[in-house]
Amino acid sequence: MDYGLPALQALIEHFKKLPGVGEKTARRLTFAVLDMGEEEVTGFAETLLQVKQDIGFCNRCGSLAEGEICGVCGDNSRNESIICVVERPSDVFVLENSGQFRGRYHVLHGVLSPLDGVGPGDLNITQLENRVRDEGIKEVIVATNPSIEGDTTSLFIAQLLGKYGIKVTRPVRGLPLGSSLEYVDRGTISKALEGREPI
Amino acid sequence: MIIKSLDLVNFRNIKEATLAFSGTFNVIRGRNAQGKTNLLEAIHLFSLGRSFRTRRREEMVKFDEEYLFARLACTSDAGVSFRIEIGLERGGRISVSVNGKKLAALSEIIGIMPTVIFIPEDVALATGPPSERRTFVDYTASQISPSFLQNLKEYRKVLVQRNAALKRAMESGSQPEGITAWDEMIVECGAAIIEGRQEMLSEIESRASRLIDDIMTGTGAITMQYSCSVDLSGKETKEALREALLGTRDQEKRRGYTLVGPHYDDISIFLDDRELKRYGSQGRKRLASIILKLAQAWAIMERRAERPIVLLDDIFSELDDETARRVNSLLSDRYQSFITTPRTEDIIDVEAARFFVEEGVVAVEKE
Ligand SMILES: Nc1ncnc2c1ncn2[C@@H]1O[C@H](COP(=O)(O)OP(=O)(O)OP(=O)(O)O)[C@@H](O)[C@H]1O
Ligand SMILES: [Mg+2]
Ligand SMILES: [Zn+2]
Repeated sequence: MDYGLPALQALIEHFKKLPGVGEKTARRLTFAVLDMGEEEVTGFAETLLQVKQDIGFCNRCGSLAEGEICGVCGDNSRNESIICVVERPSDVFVLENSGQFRGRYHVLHGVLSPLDGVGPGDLNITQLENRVRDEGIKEVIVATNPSIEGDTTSLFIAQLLGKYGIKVTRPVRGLPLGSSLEYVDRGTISKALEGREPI
Repeated sequence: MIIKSLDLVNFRNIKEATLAFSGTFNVIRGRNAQGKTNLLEAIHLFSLGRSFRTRRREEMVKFDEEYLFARLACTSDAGVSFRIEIGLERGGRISVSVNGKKLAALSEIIGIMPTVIFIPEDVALATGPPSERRTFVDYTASQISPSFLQNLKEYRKVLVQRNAALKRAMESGSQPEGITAWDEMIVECGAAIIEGRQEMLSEIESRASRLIDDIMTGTGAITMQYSCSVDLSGKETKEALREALLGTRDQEKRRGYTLVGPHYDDISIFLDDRELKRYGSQGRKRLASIILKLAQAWAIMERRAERPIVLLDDIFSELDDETARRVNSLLSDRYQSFITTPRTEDIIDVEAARFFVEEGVVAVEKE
């Protein structure tokens, strides 16, 4: 729609690029911004920029980090011998939220999918092997989504790490096939983690 | 399951029909191209949520009309009644409801009313390529076991991914990436499919043999054999599949796709110890295909505790009178069946509701 207000229209368009935001919500958000004080809007805009500039990936686990190392990797109270492998940085947040897991993470940034041209070399897998070799890891839990690609990736990791004689497990399949961690409630997550099985 | 009634508006060449059915036998007569198969298509639509003739739903809407409407009332063997209503607009809009409750998609009605259909083309079960027989067994097993269906769906997806990995390797001349993991996925789903099919096959086989005994005394048995693309002898299925994949790896890398697995398997059907495909007469092939379908109906009935509806489209064209009569009597006391024929002479000597179709008008025939 053309309101004859190009700046307003531009902001609406920006909001619409966010997941789950359609025209109506975008309009509501835009009007909310208009209602904010100047200082608050400045803070908001600067934070947006800062997030993009300051946040990168953790050198160790591939999760989001401000600086070299993420909060979890830097936290010495975490269990050092157990790693939970996930597909995306957002999965780390979901698991942290459930408060069930006290080990460390490893983010693959995807799953195996030859159709999309994704092979092992395109994932953060070599680094995982290095960590297993160097960090005295005893167990790796592969919590990729229960899709065909997630399952295959977990198999691949189990095969790859087989020679190190550690435990490689997968959360039990309490989750419906194809459901991603993002949409699963806390109780289900902790149950799935407790009842993990060797791959 | 028994269908009580069917109402149609603008379904193919049927402008309007309000029909009540017999719980046993329903004969639909009429000359060629009058609307007999259209009627079966309408009934079948309520079983699988799609036409058995076309993928393009709109073809079912009567020429020059904008929408079709169909309503079916049925009662399960446990006594639960369903009223299913389907509306379809030419633009593609669909509405479907069960007992007044709207469903999101036509496919959600699958499972309410199990149906077994035999159309003339189904003789391909005896004469056609392996895929015809695989589909037949897979369909039967899927009706009975949700986990089989799940494995089947997963296997298809895994196959597409694995083939993509092989194709990339072929094009780049490198090793297929992550192939050992894709192998293991094929092994998991593939072995479940092979074993599920073998189990289903023996269920169908034993029932088919008893059926053929009833129809043609002294003809000997129908036997079926699963011919696996993988040598299964003396090995566990998974192990055999794993070895076969390893053994063809080099060839696969050159060809760029998966060369072994349940998607290459076949089922051989024997009548009196002779392979039907090679030695069966026309009539025998048709009869054997019908019997396999009836064995399918029987298996579904016993395993799901629900009698499927049987739809038979013009099955008598190649059967002699005596054989046709026996097929009929076999049907009439087991299932509610719907059977079409373009013939006028009465090959049906059991009690039945009779309909006559002419230019899309369905009339009840007087005895
Ligand atoms: N969408 C449609 N609208 C109107 N008429 C249609 C439509 N689709 C098919 N028909 C007509 O329906 C008729 C075919 O009906 P049907 O296939 O049921 O014949 P049948 O009675 O089974 O004949 P046969 O004995 O040859 O198999 C044809 O005359 C065809 O033109
Ligand atoms: Mg016909
Ligand atoms: Zn980290």
